Amino acid sequence: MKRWVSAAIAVWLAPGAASAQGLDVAIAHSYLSAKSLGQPATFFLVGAEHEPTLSEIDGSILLRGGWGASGFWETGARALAGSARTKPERVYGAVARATWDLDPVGLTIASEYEADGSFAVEKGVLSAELTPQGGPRGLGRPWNRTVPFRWRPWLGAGVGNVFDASGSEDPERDSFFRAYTRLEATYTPTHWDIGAEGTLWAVEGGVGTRSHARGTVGFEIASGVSFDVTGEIGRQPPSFLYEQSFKMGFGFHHPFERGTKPPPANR
Amino acid sequence: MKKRRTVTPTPRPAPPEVRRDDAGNPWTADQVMQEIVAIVCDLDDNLAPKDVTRSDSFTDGFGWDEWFKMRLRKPVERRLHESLSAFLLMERVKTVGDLVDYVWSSMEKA
Repeated sequence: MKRWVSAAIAVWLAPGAASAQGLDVAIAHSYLSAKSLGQPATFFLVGAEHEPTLSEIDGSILLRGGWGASGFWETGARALAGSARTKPERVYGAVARATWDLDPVGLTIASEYEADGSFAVEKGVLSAELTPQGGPRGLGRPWNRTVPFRWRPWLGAGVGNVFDASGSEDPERDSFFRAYTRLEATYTPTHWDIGAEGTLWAVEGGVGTRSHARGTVGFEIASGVSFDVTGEIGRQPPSFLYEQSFKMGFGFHHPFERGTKPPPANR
Repeated sequence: MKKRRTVTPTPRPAPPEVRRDDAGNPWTADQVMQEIVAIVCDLDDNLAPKDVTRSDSFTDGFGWDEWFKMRLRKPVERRLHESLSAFLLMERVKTVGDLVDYVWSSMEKA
């Protein structure tokens, strides 16, 4: 029961009624970072002779609206699931968060509910995340005119509570504090999107750190559709189970930016 | 007998429309475009004014991510004296021309 209450709180926290500037929706790989929102939601089929075909879906849907002059709010849900993953390896989440432009940094305050596939691990996390908007070469913009490589760092911290009993590999067992740093890098020659994302968590508890890395090579087949190869290794919340995988499949991406012209100012 | 030549006067081009920003400064549309090009080039030293056109997309053309694009807000407010919401900038302003048009439409007719 608690999970539905916390999910409802996460969605309720999004000040949907406060938006007088329209509403936009994105479908992508995950909502965990700006780069993730640039990556497609993926659908993989895993087959072997004399074995049933297994599937995996990794995606999120996010709604975004304006909040005052310098901010915007977002709310959404994500799922990393499918028959190719065991229940403890599956991840579900719901988030409500707000972001402000505090030039020269962007600040995001988020409340998130996260659970594994069997709901044996359920957590609520309140976190703050910072990223510099610009800075050294390649940060948020191409390295130069001929090398379309860019990168972005994130620094965050969160406090949370475990709603349900944690798995044996989970260092977060009751109320917890976690700090993390994330680095994203992307190389985007025409039709290609080659990206890597690594996250290191320092978690309160007996064990110090957990890390997770993911690399993706995508080739755009048509607008919003790509062929993707993904490899990942490490441990990630909520259960911090170790996983190592390499998959191929199709990606679907509907970005926020719709390309509609801004409305004329009210004069 | 000489024919009288009738000379039809060529119409003078209309003077460019002038609008005022929130600080009362006068601007033409071309000046707004030039100022926004200057802001873009100040933010990204990969770009020179000759590289920047109205149809250039900030993400697909210049390769900026959402957070880098957000850096446009403050210079536009400081130099063109027009406010620009973060949501509008991230969601609706796709090209240089979109930004020029929005700022121009925010200005008052002189």
